[in-house]
Amino acid sequence: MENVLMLFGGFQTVFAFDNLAACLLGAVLGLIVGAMPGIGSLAGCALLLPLTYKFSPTTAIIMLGALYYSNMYGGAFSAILLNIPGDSPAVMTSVDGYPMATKRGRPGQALFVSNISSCIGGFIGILILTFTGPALAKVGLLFGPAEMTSLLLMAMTSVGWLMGENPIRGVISTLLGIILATIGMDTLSGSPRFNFGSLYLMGGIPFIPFVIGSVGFAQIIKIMASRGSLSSQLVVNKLTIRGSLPSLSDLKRLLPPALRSGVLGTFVGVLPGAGATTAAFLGYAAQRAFKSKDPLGSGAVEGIAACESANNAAAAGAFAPLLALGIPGSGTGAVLLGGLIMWGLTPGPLLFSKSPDFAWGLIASLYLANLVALAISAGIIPFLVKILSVPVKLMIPLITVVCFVGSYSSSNSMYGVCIMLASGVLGYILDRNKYPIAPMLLAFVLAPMLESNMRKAFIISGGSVDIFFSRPISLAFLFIMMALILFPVIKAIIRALRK
Amino acid sequence: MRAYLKPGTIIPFCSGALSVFWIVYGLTRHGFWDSSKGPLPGFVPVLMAALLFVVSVLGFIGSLKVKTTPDRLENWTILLAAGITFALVFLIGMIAALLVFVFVWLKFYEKTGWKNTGLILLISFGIAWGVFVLWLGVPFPRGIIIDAIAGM
Repeated sequence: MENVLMLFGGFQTVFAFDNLAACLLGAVLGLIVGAMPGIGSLAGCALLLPLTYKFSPTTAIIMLGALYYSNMYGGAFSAILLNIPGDSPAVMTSVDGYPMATKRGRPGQALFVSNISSCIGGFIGILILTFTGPALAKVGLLFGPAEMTSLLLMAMTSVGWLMGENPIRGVISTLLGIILATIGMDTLSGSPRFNFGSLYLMGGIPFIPFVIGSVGFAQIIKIMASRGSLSSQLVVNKLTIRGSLPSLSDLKRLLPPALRSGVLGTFVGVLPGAGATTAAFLGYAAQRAFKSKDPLGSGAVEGIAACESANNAAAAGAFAPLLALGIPGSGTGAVLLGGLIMWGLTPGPLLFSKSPDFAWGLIASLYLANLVALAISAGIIPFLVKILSVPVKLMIPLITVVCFVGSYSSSNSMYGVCIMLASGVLGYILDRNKYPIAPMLLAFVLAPMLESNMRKAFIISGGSVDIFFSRPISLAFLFIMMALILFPVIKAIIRALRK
Repeated sequence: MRAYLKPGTIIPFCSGALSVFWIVYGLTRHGFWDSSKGPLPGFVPVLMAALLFVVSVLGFIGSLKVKTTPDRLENWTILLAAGITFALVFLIGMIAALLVFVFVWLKFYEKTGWKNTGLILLISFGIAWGVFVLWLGVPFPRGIIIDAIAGM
């Protein structure tokens, strides 16, 4: 009850004119930044941080919080319409979003499903944050290196093993992602590794150009190979909200995965370092255990709902350790933490009692940002859908331009463009030979975290693998991972025996 | 032009070769395990490369049975165009190179009308300059020619 009263106080803070304007501005900028490949929430918050010097801390955090939050909405736009994820959490959205928009000819519905699921996931995340924030943050601290290693192994295995027609191809794709991620600095010692004397490779392969290339530029090469059969033949819905609305059946289909992923995503968001990307991948992997009307990966409503709900919920969940313990859950969280310190606030358990206006104002602003982002998205969907009615021959140079500027801007170097082109070729060859791309991207993002935690766990245990089996949480994740690996094998054996 | 690229077993073969290289390079340059320090920088790369080698062998055996259609070289025209644009960036800068690419691609490769070419050029300029330079302040390279003119 006390939390509800504090939340009402937070709403009073948010509805002050300055804060309301900051929240609206943050939400709009977040949508734009999210939709632009190569920028993402981290760069968006970092770019806007200097603008907040003259704001009060509450107004500043409200704007940045709204930006971070609505960024998750925006990332899905380019993922669904162009197959270019705006940010890493949107990678999984493109797996079902793009086929639903193009192959099934329902781009408006795909965007609406994504936005409604984001809203549901977001609300679940914020509700859990409102009532259990500080307690939830303490649960996150139970995850040590061994638990994180097992969780990450489970996430990678489930996506790699279960995605696509052939598990071997999924695993090859996953391991390729890990191998590529080991190029650059060693995560613990900081010494250069697999850089072959190159200064560029010493910094590793930058993720944004890698994802823009392997998904976006590869898509252009793919379009070149199948000209005339893709978007150009689409019958795009009318330029109205009604023409883009999802059916009642779509809503019924999106609700269960959105609710499940909302809870799962919040919990993943609380874990230090896990973030919205891990949540989206886990949400999608978890959906594989449940029925979907259409097969996942072919434009299934359930696939979009599972990952979009999870990543928005994780964005909300990430505020729990940030506010209650001062531990950022992601790169964006670290920028926000920098902001808190810059504004003279000390995050920790006392933040909620010492600066209630600030803490509860931020939480209240997330509710508002969630609604604002949904309303704005709903309004612009009919216009966004028009993108798909543009002839393919005009889209090819336009997407290439986005790939170039997006990959350059993330690294401020032509090295980024070089990586984009190379990974475009890799992505196309993989896709053409039916190797799923998403496991490679997931593994690439999570590999540094996996390596760091795995090595820390071995150092703690003195080189013994017992540490992974003696801790209950770690053991549970390993058990789930083995079950996920063995389930398709046993299923195939039973099917073969029946024949 | 009906030249073909040979697909099929190329991915498991390349990933297998890459894994062998990673194991050898990782073990010799970065080390695997130290009795006092524990896992060394080569630990995870070597471990994962060993796993990759095993699955690549399995994948290679599996891919021998799969029939795939060859790829036409024409599909790679966009990569050639992007490569030329990449080189052009160093000469005339990012924005000018991209505009030249858009113009040449639409006008000479796609044979698009002036109206659509102009529209796409305008949108491309709007994204590259309006959003990335003006709003986000991304310092795109100006190219040696523009730099030389500016320095005169």
